[in-house]
Amino acid sequence: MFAAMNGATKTIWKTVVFAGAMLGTAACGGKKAEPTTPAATDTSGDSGNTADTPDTADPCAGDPCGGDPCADPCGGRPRGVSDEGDTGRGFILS
Amino acid sequence: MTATHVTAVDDVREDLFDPVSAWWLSGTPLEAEHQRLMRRRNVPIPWELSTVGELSPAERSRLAETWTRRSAAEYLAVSTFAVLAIDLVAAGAPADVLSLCMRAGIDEVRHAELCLRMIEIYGGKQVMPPPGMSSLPDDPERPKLHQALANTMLVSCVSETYATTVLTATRDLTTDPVAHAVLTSIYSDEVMHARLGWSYLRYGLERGGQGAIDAAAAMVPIALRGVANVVERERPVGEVTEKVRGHGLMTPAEERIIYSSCVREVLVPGFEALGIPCGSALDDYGEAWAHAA
Repeated sequence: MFAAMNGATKTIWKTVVFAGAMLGTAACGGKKAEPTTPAATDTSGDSGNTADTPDTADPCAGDPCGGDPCADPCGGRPRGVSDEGDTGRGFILS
Repeated sequence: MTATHVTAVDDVREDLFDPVSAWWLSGTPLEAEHQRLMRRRNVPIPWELSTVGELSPAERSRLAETWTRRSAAEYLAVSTFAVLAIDLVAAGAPADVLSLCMRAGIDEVRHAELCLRMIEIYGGKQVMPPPGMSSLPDDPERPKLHQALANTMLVSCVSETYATTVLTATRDLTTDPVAHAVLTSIYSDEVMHARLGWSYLRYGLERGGQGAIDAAAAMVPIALRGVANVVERERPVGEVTEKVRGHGLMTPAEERIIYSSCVREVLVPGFEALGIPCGSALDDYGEAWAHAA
């Protein structure tokens, strides 16, 4: 059991976490291709971010929906009744 | 390639990829396209090799109940990834993150089908999974990037990464060919479901700066507790005999040890490598918690 466990965590560390989070690299997106469409030239309101580090401001700021609640992508999102964070995820083992 | 050859290959594939739980389908023309979606990542299961006949009625009942719970969890996970996709779109996630998230939802449909077939094998019944909706936390007040990162951590980094760990350990001890193949099929998908989270976490933290790191740190105890709640939950009645173990089950005590190991050797090192402080996580799920059952 413990031998199996040790092998499991090592495998998952390498194949999932290390590979997924690219822990062996300095930053993600390093080999990104040049964009094929022209970049916007209007820099008014530019937050100072570069093309490789897009503006992280909340896309829903400034009421992009024009007051129409039916078009609001930031409105109430569907959720179940529990906020315990314990259902619908993971694998119930036994 | 001749037309005859194409037909022969297609015949073989049709034979390999019969519907897993045909009774669960809608009976509409959607079935054909559904089958095409399912077979894209399908792993053939040697259903005829099941050793269920060697089990006692009590052992079969124990396994049927476990697979019933697994089917419910997998079915509900369809809505989990659907809700996560909403959060990711709201945060402006890139195309590859979105497509992998949507594919994860499709994978969960297939997992639910596999679980229903396993219920039928052990219990002799066709059991529909209960309806439900994911209970992913939602805080409309926080930035959308933080919301997406938080639920990605909960769903993908913690839950799915733990799922891959427990599936690896369980599969290695599973001797029944059908159960082994089903667990392998699910495991192969869960690896990508988990990797999706770690990749997006890295991506989001690089763009969100300290605020995103703080939001992620606040989510660590919530995400770890969410999975711990599942591990600690009461289990079906019935002994986990050696034969039952060979069909892909562990005891609750063993699961605690796996989760504790996963927190210590996989999750916390991963979060900390990305600069996310994990507070008391190692103590919370350390030796005392692991052996509390």
